[in-house]
Amino acid sequence: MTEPAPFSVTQDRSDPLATVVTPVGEIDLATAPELGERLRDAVDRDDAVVVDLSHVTFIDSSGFRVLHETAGTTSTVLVVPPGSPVARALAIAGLGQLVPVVDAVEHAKRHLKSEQPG
Amino acid sequence: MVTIGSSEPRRSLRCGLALRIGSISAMEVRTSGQRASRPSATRWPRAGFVAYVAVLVLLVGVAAPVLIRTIQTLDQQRAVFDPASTEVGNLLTGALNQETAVRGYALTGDIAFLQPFLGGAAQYDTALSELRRLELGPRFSSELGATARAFARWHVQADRVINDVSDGDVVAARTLATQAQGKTLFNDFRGQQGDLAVTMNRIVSSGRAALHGDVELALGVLAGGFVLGVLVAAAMWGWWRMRGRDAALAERQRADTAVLLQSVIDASTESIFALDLAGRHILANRARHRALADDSETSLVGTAMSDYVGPEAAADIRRGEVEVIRSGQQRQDEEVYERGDGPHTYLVTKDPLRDAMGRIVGVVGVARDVTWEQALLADQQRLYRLEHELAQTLQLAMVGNTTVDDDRVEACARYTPALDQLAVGGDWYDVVALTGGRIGLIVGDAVGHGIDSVTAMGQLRSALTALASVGLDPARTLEALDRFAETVPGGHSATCVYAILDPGSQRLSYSSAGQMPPLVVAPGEDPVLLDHCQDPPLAAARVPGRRRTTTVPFPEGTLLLLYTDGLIESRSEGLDRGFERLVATAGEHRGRAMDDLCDLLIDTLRRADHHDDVAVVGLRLLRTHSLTFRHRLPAEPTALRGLRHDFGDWLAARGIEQDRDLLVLAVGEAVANSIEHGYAGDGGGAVEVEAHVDDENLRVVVRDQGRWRREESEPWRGRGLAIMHSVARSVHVTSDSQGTTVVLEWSPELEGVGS
Repeated sequence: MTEPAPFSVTQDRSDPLATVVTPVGEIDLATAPELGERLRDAVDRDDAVVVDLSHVTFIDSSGFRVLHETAGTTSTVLVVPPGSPVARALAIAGLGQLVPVVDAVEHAKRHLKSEQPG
Repeated sequence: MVTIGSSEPRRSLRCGLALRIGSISAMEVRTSGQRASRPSATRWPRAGFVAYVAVLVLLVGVAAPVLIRTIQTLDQQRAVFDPASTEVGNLLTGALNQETAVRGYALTGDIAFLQPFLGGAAQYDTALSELRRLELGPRFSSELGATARAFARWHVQADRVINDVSDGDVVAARTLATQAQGKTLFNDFRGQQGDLAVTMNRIVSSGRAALHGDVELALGVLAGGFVLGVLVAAAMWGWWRMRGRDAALAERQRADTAVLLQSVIDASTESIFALDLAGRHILANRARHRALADDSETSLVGTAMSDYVGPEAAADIRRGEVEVIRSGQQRQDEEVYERGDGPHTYLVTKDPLRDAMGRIVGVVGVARDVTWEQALLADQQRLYRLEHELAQTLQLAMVGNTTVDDDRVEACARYTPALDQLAVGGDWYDVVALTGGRIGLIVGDAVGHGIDSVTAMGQLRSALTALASVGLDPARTLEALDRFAETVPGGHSATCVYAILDPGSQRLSYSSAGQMPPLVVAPGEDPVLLDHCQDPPLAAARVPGRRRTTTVPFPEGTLLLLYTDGLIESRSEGLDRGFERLVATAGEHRGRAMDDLCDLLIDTLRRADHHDDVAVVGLRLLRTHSLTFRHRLPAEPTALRGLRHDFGDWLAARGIEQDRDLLVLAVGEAVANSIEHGYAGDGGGAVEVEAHVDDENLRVVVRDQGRWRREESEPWRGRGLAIMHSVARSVHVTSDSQGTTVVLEWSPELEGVGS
């Protein structure tokens, strides 16, 4: 029980438009701090962040908290496949109304382009 | 009574006898009641006497005038006939004296002869005048006149003779006196006088003849009257004798009947009596005498109840009597009389007493001494109650047991005594743990009620429990019990069902010895009565191998009910209706806890009009995972994931698929809050999670021993609670010095979740 949850986060900086952060596993009180750290890392380097939640099997309010913090500092887009466990949790938490949510990474980048003034 | 005359001789004879006794007893009652007049026969002597007197008066009336006339005639005879006879004689004597004197004077001239002449003349004159006075009829008078005239003619000549003598002419006188002429004259007179005498004699004899007639008549009348009187008297005497004999006969018959009646009623051990309208005894038998007056010699006749019992009791008794007289209806009263050996209670049946005219003239009663009867009854009732209490105590002590402590099943057993407190049934139940984790379930019913059936039940129950532990299949076990039941008094025809549940293989085997068919309610299916295996009652099927075992699948969540007939039988409804009600009720409330369900079945199914006792055994095979989820985890964030997975699995095992992720999310939030706020993530302490699901509700309780710190500055701090509120139907957070408790509840279908 006390073993750390299998959780990992990867960053993709190949696109100059935005850093894509991809957490894999379950985001809860135990793993949210790590996600938060990576997100702050990404914000420091880039103007925009795409958080791909497609591989997240569970997320609770601690996860939403760090996502909300990120969105407060830079433009953030969440990638959530419709019907996934995260989508439902997101709807319950009401975060979708505060942070843009798209269903694929490509759509996230398009979203960021359209937002950019130039 | 008139219509009784019948063509059937034997019957009429019997009726006649009954009639006679009936009429005589009625007569006796009348006499005793001092209401009747003397018998009508007593009027006859007076009428006879009056008739007799009338006859006498008549006789006297007829005889008296005759007698009076006879007396008058006798008087007349004395006053007329006797002087007349004398005077007729005197007439002749006077005339003869004169004639003799005249002749003597003429012959002798002696003056001395004139003396008898004068005397004779006077005698003659007197007689003549007397005869004229007597008036003996015209014929007599005329003859008297002729006689007087004849004498007068002689007398003229006699005067001449006397004158001649006086003149001295003696010769002339002598000649004249002796002359034939003179003699002829006198002889004329004599002839006339003789006629007169004859006439008078005729008159006298005719008078005498009349007198004779009168006397004969009077005598005849008197004799006739006498004879008549004697006859009447004789007749009356005879009649009197006859009446007297009849009366004596009647009197004797009456006495005989009275003795007969008294003997008959004396022969009865029950008190028999009759009262007049005023409540006084007019008849009482020996038993009645003993009941009221014990050994006293005095007769009860004429006495009333107030002479024997207190005024209040007497008034009560009198009210009953008056009611019978008023209504003409039979009535029963319980009356208590004080006797030498204490108070005696009598059951008194009172009927109206009627006379021959049908009028109610009193009360006739029959009283039975029920003192001992009542005492005996009270004794019997006490013994019966004692036995009943003993039986009830035994029944409750032996009725059954549930020794199974297996968390795979939820079992309960109920026994309810008979509604009728006098009946103690022989129902029993048992839930026993068998080898291999199997569970044996038994419900039985020993035939009859009372201590015998209870002891039979106790023996059968012990035997079956012991036999069950051998582990044979139900049919073989019941066959072994058959052999035992043969030896148990009251063991014959006991009914019993024995079922074995194997939770591992989820199969139920059972065999029924005439017991009610088990009811099975599988999840999502209609309730089913297992009535394919109804074999005969115990000890009625002795051939081994004859009993059958039926095995049916028994998936998780399935419910089994064993019960005795008291649960479904009713006096007003058929057994089918009882089964229908059982099936409907069990189906409707299948989700209830077993205890609740058993109580509900007994409360709602048992009919008020059925007095049998009831035994019910209920069992539910729980799903593999317990209905209750219990976890105690360290207050560390890393423990959350394991909890969520366990809880998710538990929900899945409960069949909860829809929105399971949201339920897990909400519970996870609650636990995270405890870890984060209660212990500030310092690693100390623990969090307890307890979840319970039933058909009504999913309820999760998260408990910690810390205190939540409110950090309102962070906007997402409260997000966990918001999620809980969104997902759960209700969220309750209570916090005190012992810690914080969060209770989350969902409705059965978890409706609204995620919406």
